[in-house]
Amino acid sequence: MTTPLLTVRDLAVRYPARGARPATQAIDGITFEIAAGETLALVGGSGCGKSTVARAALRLLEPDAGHIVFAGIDIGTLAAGPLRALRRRMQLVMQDASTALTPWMTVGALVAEPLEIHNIAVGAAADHAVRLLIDDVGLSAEFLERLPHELSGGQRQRVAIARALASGPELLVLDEAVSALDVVVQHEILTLLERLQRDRGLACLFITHNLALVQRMASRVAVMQGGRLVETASTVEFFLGPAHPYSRELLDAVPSYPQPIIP
Amino acid sequence: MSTSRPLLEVHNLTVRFPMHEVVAVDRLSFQIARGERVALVGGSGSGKSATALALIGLSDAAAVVEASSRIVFDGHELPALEDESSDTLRTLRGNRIAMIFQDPAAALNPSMSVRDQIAETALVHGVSPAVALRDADVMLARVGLHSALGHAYAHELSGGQCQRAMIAMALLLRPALIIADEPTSSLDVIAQAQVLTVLRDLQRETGAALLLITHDLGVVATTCTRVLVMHAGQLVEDAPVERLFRAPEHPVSVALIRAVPRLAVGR
Amino acid sequence: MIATPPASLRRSGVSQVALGVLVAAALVALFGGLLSPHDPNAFSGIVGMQNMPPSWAHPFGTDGLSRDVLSRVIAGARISLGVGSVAVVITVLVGTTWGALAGSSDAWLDDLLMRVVDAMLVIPRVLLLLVLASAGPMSPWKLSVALGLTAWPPMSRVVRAQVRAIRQRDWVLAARALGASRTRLLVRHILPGVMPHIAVAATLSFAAVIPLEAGLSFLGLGVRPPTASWGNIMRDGADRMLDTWWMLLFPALAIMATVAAFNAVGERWRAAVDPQQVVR
Repeated sequence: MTTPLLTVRDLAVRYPARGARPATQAIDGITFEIAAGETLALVGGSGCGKSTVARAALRLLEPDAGHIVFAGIDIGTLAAGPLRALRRRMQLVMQDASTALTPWMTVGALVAEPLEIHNIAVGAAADHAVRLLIDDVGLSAEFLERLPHELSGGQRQRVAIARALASGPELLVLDEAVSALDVVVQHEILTLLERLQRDRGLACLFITHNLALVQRMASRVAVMQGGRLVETASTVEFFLGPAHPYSRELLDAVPSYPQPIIP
Repeated sequence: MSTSRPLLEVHNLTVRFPMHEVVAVDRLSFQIARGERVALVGGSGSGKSATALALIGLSDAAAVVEASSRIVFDGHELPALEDESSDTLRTLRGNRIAMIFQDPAAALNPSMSVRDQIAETALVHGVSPAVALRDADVMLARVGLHSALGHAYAHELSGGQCQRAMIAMALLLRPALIIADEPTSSLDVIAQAQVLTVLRDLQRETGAALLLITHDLGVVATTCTRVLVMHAGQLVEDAPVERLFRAPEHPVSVALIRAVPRLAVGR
Repeated sequence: MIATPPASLRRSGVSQVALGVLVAAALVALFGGLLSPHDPNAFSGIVGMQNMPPSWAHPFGTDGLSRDVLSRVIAGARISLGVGSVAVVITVLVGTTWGALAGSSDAWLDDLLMRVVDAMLVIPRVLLLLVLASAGPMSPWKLSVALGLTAWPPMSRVVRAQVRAIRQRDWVLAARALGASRTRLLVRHILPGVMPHIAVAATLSFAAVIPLEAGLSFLGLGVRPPTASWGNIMRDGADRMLDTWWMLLFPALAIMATVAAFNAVGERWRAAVDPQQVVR
């Protein structure tokens, strides 16, 4: 039995009281594991705390309780320097690429940055690596000099993915990474992600509110409601018949279509 | 069923943006019958939103609607662009044609309760305050927002609740045509399902026609009976929903159908 | 580049005139020596040449030591604008560093740094300058430093506010997720977004510093003769204002023109950068 790549146990985050508003528990008691190369889908409606889980698990925000162990290392107790270095191995792609890419940096500079930060490659070697990455996400070299606002939504997301892959991570957290795209582009990006995952053996935390995507992308599902996990199951089991009422509600909400004759 | 004359006829609608040398809508022609639910689909940049805005005369200031375009609503010719002196569009808007936008929170007045805003829609069209408030309450209940929520302000409601409030507002005056532009794109699946259910039920009850604009074929499958597929400003396919899903003809339609995420488990 | 006046600004008629004035002033300051009809410090010693009103030979007249006022005003441009430039550079460097540090630090350090700023803001700038000036004669360099060091607190506030605002943006979180250090975040992902605001504040700071230098020099506390500054030319003419009006008028026009130009550009630039802050 191999140790999981990421283990999260009893993760909790509280939002402190602000003025008249009392303190609220954003997430509580979150426990899950992701094995190397596996995709776990984290689903729930808006406001259930999925993004908070993603950020806390990567320690981009400080959790109030819980343990996070990545590749055998306890992230919670790491000092700032080693934590930054560890980020090379776990990356994040956010929902809105139009705000996730620094507006004044070119595509080339954005994708090269992880290489600089972690001293992976410099100069000509870095340029070459950037070209390979851009190509791998389906963009041509002419995009290297462009600024984010000159790209379409799908193109920006490809750049965000290329940047996330630059340091060669073992875990990729996709926080509603395709939710803001129209269906055709969404399909293209998901196809891209499937291929990249296969080629690089990436483990993935796939966060979404759309169960239809889950069936395609994940082997296991964890359902969140009101900051807590209400169900965890393998995808196959889940879609045969989810246990929790909220899971059933999510499943019922997915539109059904006339079955197509086209393949 | 449908009467002889279509509710909405669009002939040769062409919308340009001269500054960017873009033709957003290119010789678009279609019809909508009374009470029919039609979807206008396409990817981003296909021209579907520009079409919706042109239909009710709210096109972007930089847009130019060609003179050869004709829009006929219930037998009346519509001026394609807002004319300040014309009462026709103003009266039609809200009264006979209702519009629902993608971002409900942005369309709602942050300083008025939802109930008051809905009532105001009626007031503007000449109903007495008491009747307006009562009608507002009825509509709010119809869309599943019980009285406590009705007294709430826009920022206190979730996205789905805001959108249902917008639908209540839109259908208060029993319009003949509802134009919904990406009404559920910013909502999660559960909220989306609720909003679409409400929209479909109210549409059936009031007998209004629906023009639903979206890029999401899942939305189309649950809500509409006919689909118009747009690409690069042009209409590339016009088909009943079943036929489009089973045997799409145009390559763009095929791509859209293929792209729809669907559950493999039969339900 | 990030900190040039935006295109919308350059199209406005008023801005074009103002920018024109500033470019002209800069050219005069840089190349004035070539334009000057006479040596600004040369005096003929001829009593008859003293205090002469404007004429063809001396378009701005002569002063009490029969020096050509036009040449002195041109030379004064170099001094006044030069002192202003150095002062603004100091203001920007100190203010940006202080504000960036406060904006990106933990609460305690931020509080500490900004309490210092608040304390400094309590003392009126003019008072502070007068105290510094009365300590002894100041070379133009020392004057620049004094002017610069009394102006940085407001700049630091502007920078801190912008740094705090940009820190919340998604792209900064994304860069943190990459493993970027705090320095890298600040330099590559935050400060470039603050630059337009710094540029605006620097422009307006320039507008404020010119009259201050002129005022100090006028009072004899700033630039001392024979070095010409717009302020001390006016001083020479102040004793017999009506008889030597040209020694007051022309330097004053130069001061007013440059200050108005800086303010015009600065205010419009601010409106372009920060639409909500425009005060009507």
